[in-house]
Amino acid sequence: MKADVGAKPVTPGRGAIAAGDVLLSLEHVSLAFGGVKALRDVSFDIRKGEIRAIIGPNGAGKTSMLNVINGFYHPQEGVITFKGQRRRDMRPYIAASQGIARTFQNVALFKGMSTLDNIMTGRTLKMRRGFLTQAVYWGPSQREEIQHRLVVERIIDFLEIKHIRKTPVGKLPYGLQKRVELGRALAMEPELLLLDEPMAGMNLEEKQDMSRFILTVKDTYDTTIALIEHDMSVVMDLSDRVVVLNYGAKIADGTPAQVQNNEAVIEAYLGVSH
Amino acid sequence: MDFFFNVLIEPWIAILTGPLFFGEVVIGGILSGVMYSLVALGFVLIYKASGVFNFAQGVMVLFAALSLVGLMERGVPLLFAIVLTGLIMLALAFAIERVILRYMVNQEQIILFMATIGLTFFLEGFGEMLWGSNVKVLDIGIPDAPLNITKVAVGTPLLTAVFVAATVGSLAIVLLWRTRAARRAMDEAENAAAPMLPGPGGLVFAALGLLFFLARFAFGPDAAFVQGKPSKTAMLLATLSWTGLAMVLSVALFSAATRLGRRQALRDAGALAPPLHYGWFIALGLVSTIAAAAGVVWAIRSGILINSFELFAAAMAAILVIVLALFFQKTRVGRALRAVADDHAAALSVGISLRGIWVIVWAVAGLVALAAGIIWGGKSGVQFSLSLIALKALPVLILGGFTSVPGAIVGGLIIGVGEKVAEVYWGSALGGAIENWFAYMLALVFLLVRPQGLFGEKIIERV
Repeated sequence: MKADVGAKPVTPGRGAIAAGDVLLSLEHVSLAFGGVKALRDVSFDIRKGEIRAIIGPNGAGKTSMLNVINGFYHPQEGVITFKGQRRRDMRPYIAASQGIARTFQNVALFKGMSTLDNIMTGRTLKMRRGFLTQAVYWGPSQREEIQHRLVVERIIDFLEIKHIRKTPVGKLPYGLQKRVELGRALAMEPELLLLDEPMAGMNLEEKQDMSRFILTVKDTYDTTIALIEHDMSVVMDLSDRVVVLNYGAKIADGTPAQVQNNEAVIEAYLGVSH
Repeated sequence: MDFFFNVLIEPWIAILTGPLFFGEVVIGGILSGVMYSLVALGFVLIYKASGVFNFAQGVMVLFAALSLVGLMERGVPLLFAIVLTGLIMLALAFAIERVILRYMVNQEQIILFMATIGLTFFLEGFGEMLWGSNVKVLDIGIPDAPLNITKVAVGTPLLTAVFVAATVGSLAIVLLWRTRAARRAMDEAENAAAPMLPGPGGLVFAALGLLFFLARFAFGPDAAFVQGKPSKTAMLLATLSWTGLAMVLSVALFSAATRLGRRQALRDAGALAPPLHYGWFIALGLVSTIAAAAGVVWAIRSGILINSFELFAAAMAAILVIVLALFFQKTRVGRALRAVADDHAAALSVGISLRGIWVIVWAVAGLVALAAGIIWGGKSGVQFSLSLIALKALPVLILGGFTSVPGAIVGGLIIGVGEKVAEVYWGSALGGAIENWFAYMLALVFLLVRPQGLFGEKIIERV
């Protein structure tokens, strides 16, 4: 997937982050909608090459956190540092072009388009031919299209969705839609991949497949992954470090084993009689 | 009683007893319907990509026409003036994004709609300030008169045969192209290593075609054609043989196109295949152009008057639609446009810039407005009332559906034909001027029966 097709010139700072260094960090981020505080003074970091889980009860602010990272929400306070660049907030376009890809909790695919076209949209930023060349279509623009098709076909092979390449995704079952969405994110060749409940609503077999894909992506393509997930066994198996949110605040941060035995976490999940 | 007779029975008698005249009315209707479609197309483009009804589309047509005439009055030659006006429309799209749309992200659609109303008033005043408000004549060098084709030296029987054959040929291509089997064959061709051959179906089709083609020789010489008066059997045989030839050719063309595409793909990207469908587009384009040309000549020969200006308009619209369809289906920008229409958040997350898309959509809508401006301005002069043709596009949109490009075309044709036929055959019985209200009545009926339009997406509201 690291084909040099239309790759952008290496920007200063890119590649300077070695495995284990901090790729993204949030410092004292607070986000409120009117009176509702979605995030309260949350700080945490994601290191290059790890799988970072974000967990917490419903309404804890997990998805808001992803939305802050990829620029859909703009926090009122705090600093976001990605690849060494400090920002007050992200913008979706900047996030995408800097190498942050994501999937959505409720599958946000382009329903009328085929699997192939959906994943091809992930190549948008890698394709450099201008509007006018595109309008002519034949020539350079078509060559570019074919080159990117190659990348996309490899992703399709990898995710084992070859049989649905031409099917409009609106017609696919939920589990496959989740896979197509992952494919679209992978097509962006991201450095940081945000997965919002990648296994929600899946059966055991589909969960196993998805776990396998996630691990392969991490190992083979050097992609850093942050994921929100409710299935604790999946979280404990997959992730290197876990951050726990409750009512918009961070209550625990550490390895799965540490988090599992943290009292505040047990309290948040199970409730404790006082 | 007389009234009922005049409304319910008399028109049908007139239609049945004068089919030639009826044909002329229908063709006139189709040609003017195409002109409505051109305006409606601009609305559809913007509605598809941003969900906004662009009230200013009509005035964009006026603005484009005004600019074109203004430039020509200052001595710019026609083609150059069209290019310049195109650039002006591009600049306008940029300006609209910069000044208006940029501040409208995440606003309610009604707010955007209001903004386009504001834009309407501005463009109207601005256009007339720049180019003056007097009525102008736009001459694009195509006479608004019946087409004269005495120079075409092809015999009528041959022409008839070519017309029928090419029509059948294009239908055959569409069928082959749209069927499931054909698509599966193409999908397999994309993956298989072996060169694509026409499958069993294609071979049978081609063999049948060959049989048809040879049939005419089996039934003796076709000398009957050359001597002016063909017999019915001879006509039939000729038609059949040309149809056969078209069938054989279409299969050959298809496999050639597929193979060409594959070869290029192999060269460019290893074992990977390119999109193949354009082979079909080319085949269909060629055959249907032949059909249309032969059809026009044939119709004129049989005494139907065809207005050359309207014919030009129809051809232009057809080309525009094909180009737009290819653009939407086959390019990154087209894909991004469809993506934005489907899901804003997802589009943003893959790095599609909403602003860029808006500029492109408005630019394309501006160019479509230019095309409509050339046609309508050339037909009825460039003046303020040109912007009111937007009102004529409304029923077209209601009929075809706001989100469908083919819908805009078909809707325009239905309304064009409907109002011409209604005017000619029912006009006197109902007191005339039906043309003015027919489209709106039809739209009203459609709103009651099928509110999403013929081709529109069904509106499903989750509660």
